[in-house]
Amino acid sequence: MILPQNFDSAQESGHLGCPGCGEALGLRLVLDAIGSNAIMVVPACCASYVDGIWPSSAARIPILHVAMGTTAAAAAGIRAALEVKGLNNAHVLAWAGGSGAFDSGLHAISSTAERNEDILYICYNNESYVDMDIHYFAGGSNRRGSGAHADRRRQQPQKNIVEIMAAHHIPYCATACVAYPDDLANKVKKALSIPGFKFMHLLSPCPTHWEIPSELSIELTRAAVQTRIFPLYEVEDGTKYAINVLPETFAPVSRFLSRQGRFANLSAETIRQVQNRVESQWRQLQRRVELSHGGVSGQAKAKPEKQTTP
Amino acid sequence: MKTKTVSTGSKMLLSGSQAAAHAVMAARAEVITTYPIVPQSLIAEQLLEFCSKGELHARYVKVESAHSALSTLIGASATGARTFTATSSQGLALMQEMLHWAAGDRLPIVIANVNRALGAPWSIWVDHNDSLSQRDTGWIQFYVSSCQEVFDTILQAYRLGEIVQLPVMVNLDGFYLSHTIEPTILPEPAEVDAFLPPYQTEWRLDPQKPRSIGNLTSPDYYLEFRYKIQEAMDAAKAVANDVYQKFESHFGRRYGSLDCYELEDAKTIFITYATMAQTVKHAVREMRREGKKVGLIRIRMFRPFPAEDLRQLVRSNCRYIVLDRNVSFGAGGIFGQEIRAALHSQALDSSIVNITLGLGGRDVAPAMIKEIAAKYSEGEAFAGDHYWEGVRL
Repeated sequence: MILPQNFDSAQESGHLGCPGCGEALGLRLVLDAIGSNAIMVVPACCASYVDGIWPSSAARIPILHVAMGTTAAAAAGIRAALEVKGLNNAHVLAWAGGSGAFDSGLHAISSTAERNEDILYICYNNESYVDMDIHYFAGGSNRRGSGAHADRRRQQPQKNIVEIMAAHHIPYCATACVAYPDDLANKVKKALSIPGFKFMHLLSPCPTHWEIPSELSIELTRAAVQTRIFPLYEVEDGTKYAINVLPETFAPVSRFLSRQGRFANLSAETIRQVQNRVESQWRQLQRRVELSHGGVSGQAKAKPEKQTTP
Repeated sequence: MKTKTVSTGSKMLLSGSQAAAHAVMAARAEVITTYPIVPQSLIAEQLLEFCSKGELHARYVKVESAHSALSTLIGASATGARTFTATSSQGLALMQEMLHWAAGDRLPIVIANVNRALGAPWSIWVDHNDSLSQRDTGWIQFYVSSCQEVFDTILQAYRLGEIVQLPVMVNLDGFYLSHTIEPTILPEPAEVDAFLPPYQTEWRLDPQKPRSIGNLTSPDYYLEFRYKIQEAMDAAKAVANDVYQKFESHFGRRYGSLDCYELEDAKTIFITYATMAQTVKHAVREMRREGKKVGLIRIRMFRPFPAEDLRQLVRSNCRYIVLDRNVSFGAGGIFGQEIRAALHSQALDSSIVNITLGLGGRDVAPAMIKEIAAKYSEGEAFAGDHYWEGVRL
């Protein structure tokens, strides 16, 4: 699939994203699905400078830039103001990097989700702490440490933000990635059709941090899905699970890991452990899908991969 | 504050907290956030009652922290809504990051801060280190001393903040004011509407006219953003005087950034603020009966600091005793520092005595004020320094 050029996109050209930036592409895909009747909130993250330095902005929708952990709270305030002013048809998009969602922003997300505020919160996760010079964080990857960063490399697997959000019983949460743009657009449109708090976890490649050539960013993001390291699924009302993209064959995790400089330190043993963890998590996900459908496998709902692969 | 004529309306017995909530309702606030903290919670409870009864048509958002209480208002105010929250002490300290942010975004948010000492050790009683620690955040600050003044100042705060595009903090003493009941005049809604028109701003988040607020700003522009905050603060002094005049013409009650009592022939003049000023006023009245030439300057507006107004009041043959219910460790009382700086050109330094007292809710009784007057009115030994009163060691 070749993405059509969209000269009416709410994300204009001239942004400051690097070549192969998943955030810039992801935002364009999301805004194409949302349209221009929206207000966006952005905390400290790549998007706060990829959008442009004052007085420039690449977005054709208004953006409120806010402090690190406050995205969901500020978005709730925007929604509250729109409600009292009777402007309910405008969408409120919270667009936050991993650090503002997984760590410092989590209490505000939790509270806003609990109140079921009518917001679409998308965490685009490049598995970095890019705005803090690529440091440790809970949504990050097992990065190869070097120099001053060596003692900061992660030893733990990434926490499961979608499960955390599903546990809030919000009407909709989902994973998505820029390598499956149809799936991403469908999920954004579905989320916007549902009132209440919606959460999406978007895998967003970062050639700089992943230590990959920029032309590989889509291919490796697709590999994250094909290896089931980053399965594409959705959860409605915290209980109804569906896998949206089912790989025809499951690729070994090394297809995702081995071409990234950030994982060059991984031993064969670690890669085997990652493979085991992926298998285990996949079984858990399948089980949840089965439970959602009265014990019958929900995989029938998943779309065959070849129809959605770009 | 002098009451000239009483406009129509009703007189009710209200606590300072209730007066604050009534003012927020009278101002027709549109988005209210709350997170409970003693002794602020009565304001939140009263507002919730107004909203749930349908008397106040606002979105009432119960958030999970004081930090989010202000963050949510930043989103709401940036979307053009009139906003309010109340907090206290640790809550205000947690908000500090967003206090800067609200001022930087030039959002006329109004918060009522019920002054309470900061931990550790825990204290729920009044002093003013919570709000005075926020003096450099770009917020206009008022310190009030009666329930009527709580009500009136919140209305003035919206009017002033929305003109100069700065957030306003109205500070009232925990318990001494928040939980003290006084007769309070509540004007008719139409009268308040005439004084305070709905909040309208071009600078808001609007999909029809998209603009970004708070972008990353290079060294080529950041300085100018900050300069404009200072410019707005300077302008706020004159605008505040206009607001007081307009307020008086609507409601008959006169306010200034400073409030004076018995200054004419005074040899010793107390300068203080908040409810402590009411105690000092009472003590001054009694001392006057005893023939002592004492007076009082009460400072209502702390930011912007009314330095010009103060300079016009002072004279060289007087002793000034600045009472601070706060301390800047390593420097002295915070009002004391501000007053010394404001009066620097008057060469009064040796006439100013600065005293810290009453921290953590320690009672400051009229007898103590009289003792202070007796102890510090005469002699050079005390001048130009900072002292503590009431310390029991």
